[in-house]
Amino acid sequence: MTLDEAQVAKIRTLIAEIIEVEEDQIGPQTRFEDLGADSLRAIEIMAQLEKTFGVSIHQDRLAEMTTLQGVCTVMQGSPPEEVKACGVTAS
Amino acid sequence: MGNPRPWCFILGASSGMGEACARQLHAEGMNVYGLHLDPSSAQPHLDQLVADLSGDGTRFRLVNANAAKSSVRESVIGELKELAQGGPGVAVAVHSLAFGALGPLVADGDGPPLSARQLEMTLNVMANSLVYWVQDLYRSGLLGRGSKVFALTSAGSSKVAASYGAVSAAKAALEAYVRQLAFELARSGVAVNAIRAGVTLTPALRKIPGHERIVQRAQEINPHGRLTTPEDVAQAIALMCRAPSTWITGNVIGVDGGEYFSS
Repeated sequence: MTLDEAQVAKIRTLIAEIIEVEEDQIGPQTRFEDLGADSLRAIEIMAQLEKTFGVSIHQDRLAEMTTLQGVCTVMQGSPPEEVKACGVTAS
Repeated sequence: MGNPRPWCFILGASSGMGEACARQLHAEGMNVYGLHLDPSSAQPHLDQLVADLSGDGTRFRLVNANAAKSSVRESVIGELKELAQGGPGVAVAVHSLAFGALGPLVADGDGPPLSARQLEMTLNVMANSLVYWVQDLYRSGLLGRGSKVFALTSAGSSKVAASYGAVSAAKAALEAYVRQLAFELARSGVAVNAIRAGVTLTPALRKIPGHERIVQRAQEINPHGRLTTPEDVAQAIALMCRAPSTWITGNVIGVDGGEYFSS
């Protein structure tokens, strides 16, 4: 999928809620770990992104999702056809 | 909306022993409220679980959320209170959270040692969360006379295995919490026990580096000549739930076909 500015903002909001920090604490390259996030929060972020954006993210890519920029890169590499394969309705 | 049937509350209900408990206790006529945290790749399996456990006059609620967060605890207990209104509350609570950091405590050739954050997360998810959930379930009146709490431990609480240091510590803490909770809740008629399953092929076990050797050894030494199954564990829990007695409490109960004592 291709992300527009509003979608990136939505991703930032979603991550801020999950790791319980203010949105402005999350810069493009701020490491979530430096904000107190652990690997369980990473799974939570992944599950919530999949639900909100109707994509399927391969678990192997979790290691890349340590910053907002990393998350956006992974999201852009998650094609919508995977959505059908895992039985989730695309939004 | 109230429902007169007792509720079974399961932390970690989407696979392994938690799922088996959900299926078994549902078959015994209980409503089931399960918490899990899974990506969308688990959805087909979850859809099947929901389809299998819906109907028959019982309720089944499966929530995808992080059980280690206080905000999740607050909202889940609020919902559970509403669902259980007018009924006997939570008769059975099962702690089957298997999410911990695997790795060496001291740096070796296989990689860096576990960090403070990884150790703390493992202890928090796999041990401390039992206390937080029991505290809140009890405070909200959902746990009461006759309720039974089960926490799933493993032989790893008192043995060593590669990469298992943090989880081993969490299991040892979990067993200590079980004893203490059993002591403190005895006068309220709530039983708390740990279930020490034998080696069981669950998604959590498959993540342990070198699990193939653990499985092979268990198959060799188990007097029954086979591994423990999630259903063995679920049936043992269901068995203890059939009697109103809460006199079995504060124990680590082996459900392993005699594996622990074999060599």
